[in-house]
Amino acid sequence: MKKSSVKKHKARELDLLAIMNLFSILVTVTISMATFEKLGILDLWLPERGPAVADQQEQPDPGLLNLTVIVTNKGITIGAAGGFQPTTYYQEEVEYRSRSDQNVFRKIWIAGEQVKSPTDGKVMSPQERENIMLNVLSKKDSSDAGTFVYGVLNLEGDYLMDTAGVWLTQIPQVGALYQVVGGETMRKMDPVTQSYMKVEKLSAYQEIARTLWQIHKLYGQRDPLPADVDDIVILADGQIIYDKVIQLMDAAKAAGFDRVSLSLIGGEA
Amino acid sequence: MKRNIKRQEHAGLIITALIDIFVIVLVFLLRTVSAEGNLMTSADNLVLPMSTMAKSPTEVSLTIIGDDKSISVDGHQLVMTPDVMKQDSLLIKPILDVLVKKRAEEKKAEVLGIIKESTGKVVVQFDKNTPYDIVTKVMATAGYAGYNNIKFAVTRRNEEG
Repeated sequence: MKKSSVKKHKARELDLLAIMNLFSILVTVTISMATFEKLGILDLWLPERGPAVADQQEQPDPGLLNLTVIVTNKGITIGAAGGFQPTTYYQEEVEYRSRSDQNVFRKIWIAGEQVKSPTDGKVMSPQERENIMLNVLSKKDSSDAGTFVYGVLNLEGDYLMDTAGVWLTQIPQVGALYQVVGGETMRKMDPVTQSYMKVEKLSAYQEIARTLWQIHKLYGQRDPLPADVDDIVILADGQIIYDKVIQLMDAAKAAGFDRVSLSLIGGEA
Repeated sequence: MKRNIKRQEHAGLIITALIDIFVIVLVFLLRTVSAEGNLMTSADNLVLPMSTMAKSPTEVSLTIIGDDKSISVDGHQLVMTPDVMKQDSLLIKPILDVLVKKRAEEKKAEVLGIIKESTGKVVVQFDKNTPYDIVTKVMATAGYAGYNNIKFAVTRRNEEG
């Protein structure tokens, strides 16, 4: 009996129908649970409001840095107890994605200008601005029109620096050492990474992040460690869009300043 | 040709390839789905700013949502955005009234032991094109009402897990 059955079905296939059923259920359940847009939160560090002490003399601590980033519609300036860094001027370039036909195009932002889609001529709403890029302009003074600065961008959106911390302007050779802002070690260029590199206009956020990162490294070496080693204040103009403030918070956090507080130019928030 | 059909009487479906596809889809989906589920949902018609340094959302008791039309607290539309833009005062009265009431309720719940700790956490979701002026006014109002732990909701970029 046994022998004959073996002969009849030489290669009997596994009955995978039950597994298929299970899989189709699992896939449906996971798809229904999946979220493809990942939300996150950015912490804000606000000084605690304590009871006012009347007798204390208002003497600012001379050892503190009081690092502040000032952002206006033209440029970003880093200030500290000792003075101000030269302003990083930028040109605002916006990447629009039209809601009507999903067409993506870039345009230099000019205040009050109506932007129309090149394909169907529809006026773009502010909500159709997908990416707001700040391109660094190298200027001799504020009246100078300025020239663009270029840098090498990797797939993660970081610009590359050489070992001395200077922006690279050409894609490095395979085997060359490079670093990115916030990176703890030097990286070595490999052929795969190199193929994804491209030369783009340098982002003002990255320029600020690099300066802040260098400040944080220097300031963190002080002994004893200052109380405001991780503190930074972002001082923005009221007309600045919220996105710029968030991107600057990102830059500050990438540079190592975890306690970011916000303030309004001429305000008290 | 005819012979062939005769030999294989039970020509079963070959599902092995299909199973392979399902395994790949399942592995991909299990990687994207987070185990903690959705602690926070983004509001409609709102483009949140992108961030690489954002943390995973935690449980919060209160959400303030602002777009180009109105500002709402916990889903209740309270004030129109252009009106907030026009006002000089840092405090937004309709929002302040609601927040003060909510904060008092939260503190009461802490005393009664319903919640462990009233942390004064608030998540603010703003469209990325909102003027900073409105953001500061909402922040100042929240701070004045006792919500000192302000967090900004963002979309995470290039993040794993």
